[in-house]
Amino acid sequence: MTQDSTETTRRLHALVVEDSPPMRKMIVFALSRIKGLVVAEADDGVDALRRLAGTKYDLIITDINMPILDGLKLVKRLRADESYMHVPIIIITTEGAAEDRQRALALGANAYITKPIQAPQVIKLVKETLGIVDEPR
Amino acid sequence: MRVQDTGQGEEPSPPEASLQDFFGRGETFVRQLIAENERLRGELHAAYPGRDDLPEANSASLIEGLVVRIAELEREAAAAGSGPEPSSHFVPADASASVLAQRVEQLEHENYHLASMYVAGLQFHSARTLGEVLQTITEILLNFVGIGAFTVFMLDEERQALFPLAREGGDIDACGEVPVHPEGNSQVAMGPVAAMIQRARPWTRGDPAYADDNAIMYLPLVSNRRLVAVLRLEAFLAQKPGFDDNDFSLLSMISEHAGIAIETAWIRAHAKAVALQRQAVEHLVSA
Repeated sequence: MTQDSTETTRRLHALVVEDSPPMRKMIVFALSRIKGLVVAEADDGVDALRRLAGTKYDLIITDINMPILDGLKLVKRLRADESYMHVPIIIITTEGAAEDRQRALALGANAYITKPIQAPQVIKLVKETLGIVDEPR
Repeated sequence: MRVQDTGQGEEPSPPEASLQDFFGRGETFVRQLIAENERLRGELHAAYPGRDDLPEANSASLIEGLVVRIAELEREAAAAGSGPEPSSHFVPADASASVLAQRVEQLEHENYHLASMYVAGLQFHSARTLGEVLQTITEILLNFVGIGAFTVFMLDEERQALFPLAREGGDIDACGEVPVHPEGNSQVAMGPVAAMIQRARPWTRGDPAYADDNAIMYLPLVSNRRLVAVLRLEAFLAQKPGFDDNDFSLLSMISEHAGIAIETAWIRAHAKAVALQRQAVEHLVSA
């Protein structure tokens, strides 16, 4: 899917799943720099499943360490769900070990970023993932 | 607010339009920050009338600082992105676009950093209990600074000792109390902590790391010259190579705002609930 950021035929929707309020605010802030992207928030995996049942999202960004239902379990659940089988999932986590990354990717995550995040890195990855093309300068 | 005024009512070119939009959104965000800051300051002063250790209710200096910073960023962006009239110099389009893209990325960094400072400050000032303050410290250190292991020591002022209250990335039972000798006592058991107490102000860049062991640094948490706690930063997250410039600003902010938040939570925990009364309020104002 390729989409011009200024001429959106349909707005793209992203869900940020993160239990830390300040971190969630910062991810949402970084994503707010992307034109045409509508961002929703969920406190944890269970809250995410509730929101995903009601709205169709084009991208899911999730933390790993969360209470009740963690990010890896969420990825597993979504990959088993027909509606979200192919929706891109980006992990943003403090877990920097190679085996954590491999495990997340093996479960079906599309990308893995470690905290602290760099906003331009996140913006670039999300644009690439959603096929958002900047206007030529 | 505009990056560049064409002065002829022309439609801005794509890069100009993009920058205008960028700064337009930045301006809106800054206005929101200022409004929220005003509200919080007002709340603090309403909650603790007569206290002289609160941040000033008037945020003129903050606004002035932000406005100056926005103006600087605009000038930098204009210099990098627009510059003189296109016809007056020959810059390959690719090179110009690349410089602009780099500058925009740099501004995104800057913008994100300012936002992280705001969010961290907001979290500390909205924390009502010691538990919430500790949670905020943990989230800011882990997620924003990239510190994977640390211990929060609180000061027991009566016993003049620092005691471990919370620990991330290690066993709290492995931490013992640290005695602190009051000023004037020649027996100084812990040099760095004694130095912090003597200095009696929040940590700023250029101050010592205070660590005389294998810790990265000891960060004093201070409220109005009163040391209330000390953060022992023990290890970075595996993927974090070390501090960068933005981290120092965050540490400085934690040193001050977490200290205030701890003291405020302490006062709140011991305050008697009293209904607001016109007479009493007016008496406080006139005093």
